[in-house]
Amino acid sequence: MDNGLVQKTYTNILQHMVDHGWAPHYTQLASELGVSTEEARVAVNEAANIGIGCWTSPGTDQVGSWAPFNSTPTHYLVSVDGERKWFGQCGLEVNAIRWLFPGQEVKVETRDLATAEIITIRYRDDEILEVTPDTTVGHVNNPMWKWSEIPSPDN
Amino acid sequence: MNLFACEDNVFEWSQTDPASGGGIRPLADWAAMFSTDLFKRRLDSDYLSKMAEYAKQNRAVMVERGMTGPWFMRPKT
Repeated sequence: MDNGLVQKTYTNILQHMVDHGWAPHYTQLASELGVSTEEARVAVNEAANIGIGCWTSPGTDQVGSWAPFNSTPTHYLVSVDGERKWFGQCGLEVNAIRWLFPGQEVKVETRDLATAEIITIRYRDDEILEVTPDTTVGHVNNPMWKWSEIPSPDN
Repeated sequence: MNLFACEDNVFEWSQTDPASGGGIRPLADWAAMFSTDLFKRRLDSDYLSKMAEYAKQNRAVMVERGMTGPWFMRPKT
């Protein structure tokens, strides 16, 4: 494994998701990183296999999720300074999105899976601006230390 | 890994493991846990090589918040 290329691939994908709200294809990464398409394809899969909340869509080489974002829609809708463009990976990782947008207001809107009640959280850096309702909780349905053993964890 | 409007609603969802009550925490705990360098420094060009160091910092915050049970940390054998 070329650790330098895997690092660059990891960073490039995350920056692209910050900028655009969706992940690049490995052919685009190949051009941007100056490597062959095969080298880029392998690097995407190696980065996705590190066990840090990143994975490709099942049966493909296309990025599915790159923590803290998802490249396909989830019920975690994310806005930054009023622009809604991103989807959160899960209800816990949405708490980390603010660090990728320093100084900006990050708003997470979702619905309770049982009642469809709207949940809203707003952050600006270290400050939690809003949690509605204030009884909101986060829940892990699988022990956190087992997450890396789950191919594409969704709960 | 999901958000719910209140603790009771967790168990109203059809997919919830009935034994997973230990995995419920208030939002403030998750916000603190996701505020360490493991999450803040993801765009750094040397992030992958420093992840182990950042993970230690993250573990310390989890201990501080009492997130040490079997839903959060691997039980000692």
